[in-house]
Amino acid sequence: MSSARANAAESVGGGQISEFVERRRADATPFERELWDMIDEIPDPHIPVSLVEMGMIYDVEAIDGRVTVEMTYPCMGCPAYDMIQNDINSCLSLTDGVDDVDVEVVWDPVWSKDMLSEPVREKMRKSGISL
Amino acid sequence: MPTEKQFKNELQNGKMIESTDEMTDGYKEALKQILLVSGDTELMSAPAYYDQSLNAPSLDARASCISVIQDELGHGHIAYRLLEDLGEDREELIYEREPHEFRNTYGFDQHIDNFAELVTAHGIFDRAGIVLLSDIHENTSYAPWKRALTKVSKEEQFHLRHGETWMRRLANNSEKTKQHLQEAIDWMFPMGVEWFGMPDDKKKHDDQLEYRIKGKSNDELRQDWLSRTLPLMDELDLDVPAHYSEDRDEYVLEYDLPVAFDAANKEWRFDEPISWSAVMDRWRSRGPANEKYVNMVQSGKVELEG
Repeated sequence: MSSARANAAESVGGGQISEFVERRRADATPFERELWDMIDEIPDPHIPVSLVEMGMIYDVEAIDGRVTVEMTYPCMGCPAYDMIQNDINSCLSLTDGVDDVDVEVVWDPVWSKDMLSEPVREKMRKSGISL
Repeated sequence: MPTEKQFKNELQNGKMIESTDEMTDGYKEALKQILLVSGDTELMSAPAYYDQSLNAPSLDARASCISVIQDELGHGHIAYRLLEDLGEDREELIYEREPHEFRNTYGFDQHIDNFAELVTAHGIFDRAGIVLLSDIHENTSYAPWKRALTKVSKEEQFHLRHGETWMRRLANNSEKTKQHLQEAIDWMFPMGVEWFGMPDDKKKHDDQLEYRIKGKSNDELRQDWLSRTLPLMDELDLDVPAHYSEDRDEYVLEYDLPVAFDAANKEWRFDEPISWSAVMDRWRSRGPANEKYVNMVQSGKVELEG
């Protein structure tokens, strides 16, 4: 847990992830942690935080160069449905050691605002988004 | 209250304004004027984008287009809400003005007739909006507007990306879709150029600059827009009457701005230069879709009792 926290602190997300994401991230291998950090650099197209900070990334698994990203959306009719998956794909597929990226969209658990940490909420409030 | 000249000096030196008590009448009027243009432009982009959003080629594209409209209505709301702080009435502004009284940019008085035109609007008109608003976001002396624009800027980036993505898809899909895109660019690109208004050497003085309501002059903003728009045109192999001049170290137009516009046929008459006062007259008399769009916004109003 502590190493995941330390790793997150170096990225854009700056360790501002919620407990839920942190739990998911805790059993990652060092390589998977690198991939988590990369996704933590991808901005949400609408909201000034990263996809990881948004709590949309549920799992990252790398087996022999095949990467599976499990993710969800805050709403089913997300206006950036393809855009976000394209971003994850193009970001990870350029990485050494990644041969194939598969983005899997899941709806369990259902995303909720509880997945946002307090610093992320503060960032959103500052940009005029009410929670 | 300081003299107008002192006040302008203080603003140039970085003074920020929070409320009407700190404004001179001149400042307030200049601020209201630009907020009204901004709010009306955001609001009128919504009906302009509406019809073709329902004609989007995939469910995902449609969701993105509809979301753009929702954002634009929100941005309009922000501007009208700020105007309310300056003594204006939001209801009156939206529902009680005649179509010709709206002050939106002339581009949103035009019919958007196909999906290629819609995504070109997202790709180059929203870019013009971003150029204008990011200058204000960065430089304005009116603090409440500066704060409100954080959200607006982020959302406009999404519109732009959506527009550029679809412009790429159309440019690379087939000769036919590429041709539609070129036809859209043919009338929309010069519309974007004209949007930034009169060149600096024709403009005697500019209250909005002197009060630091905005930071960049018309020509600086136009150059900014050209410098971001032309690389996309090159990438997509679209013809536009402008290029970068190494000698002058700036983007130059290949026609004498401003020129006549045949609104009924959406055609610029590049060999027919006109005066800026003729442009202002054209803007003031509004374009072909003005009444339709204002009506789309106003007709849904219902008087609720109790």
